[in-house]
Amino acid sequence: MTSDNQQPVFNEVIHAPIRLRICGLLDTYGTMRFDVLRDTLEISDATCSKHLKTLAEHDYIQLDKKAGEGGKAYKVTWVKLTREGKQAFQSHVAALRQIVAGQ
Amino acid sequence: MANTQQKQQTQQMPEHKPVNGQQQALDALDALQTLDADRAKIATGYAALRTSNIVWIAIVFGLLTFTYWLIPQAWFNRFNLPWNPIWVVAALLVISLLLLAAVIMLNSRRQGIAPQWLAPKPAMQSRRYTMAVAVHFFVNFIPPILALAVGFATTAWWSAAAVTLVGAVINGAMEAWECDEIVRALQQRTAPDSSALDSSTEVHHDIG
Repeated sequence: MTSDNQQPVFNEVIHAPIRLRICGLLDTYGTMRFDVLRDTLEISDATCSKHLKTLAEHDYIQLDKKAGEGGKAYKVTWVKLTREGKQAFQSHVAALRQIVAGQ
Repeated sequence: MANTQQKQQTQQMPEHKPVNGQQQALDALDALQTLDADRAKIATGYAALRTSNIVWIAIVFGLLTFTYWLIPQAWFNRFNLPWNPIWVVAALLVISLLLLAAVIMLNSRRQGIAPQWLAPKPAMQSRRYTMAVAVHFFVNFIPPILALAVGFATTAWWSAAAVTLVGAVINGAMEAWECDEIVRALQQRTAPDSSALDSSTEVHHDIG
């Protein structure tokens, strides 16, 4: 994990288990498709959307809707961790480590 | 609006006082372990792609090495082709690069992620992976130099086959090493050992 140079800041928004896992996956992968994220976390569409919306409201992620493969009618949602999201996640992980270390 | 909310959230932080410090530490540990488990899941995906990656990279770099073997032949026009043989070299070079781009695109499509030219972040931060990439970079020069030298010396078909094989094997082996290091880096536990937390729990109980 990459929280070495981050100031530990506990973040209530990211701390929710599903949102923490979303940020963790995006921190590793960069940009992911909505369906892959949902399947990896083994949650429903609605739950996934709800948590993504919360993260997007705080500018931690960016949702990008693109046309499906071959220009099909349906849209595919791509989820990307923003710079703010990356920093907030890494600071939060640093805070968690600090808590575990008992500091 | 979003920034204001964000500030409000971070300002709430001091109010986030747990009922019990030990419980908070356990929760934090649990959260870190969950992140480790998710990364291990990602590692499984990379491990599944290992064989196909090696085969693709071997094909691409085998073809590239063959292209290098062709350069001296084209330069001296040894096959007496009616057209400029440098076009063959250029076409092979383009095919190799297109194949490489196709590998990256297909892999990212299978994984459901945006195309990545670099390995996942935990791998990029791993010293072992960096070493594998550095070694690959330097070893990468061997097949082209060999192919140019052999291509300059002979036009025999078996020499072309041999250098192509050398290029494919060397780069395939390096790719295998890199894949292993990516999987290793993703599987690495980052959460602190829970036994340390358990021992501190015992101290807090102060029984006896």
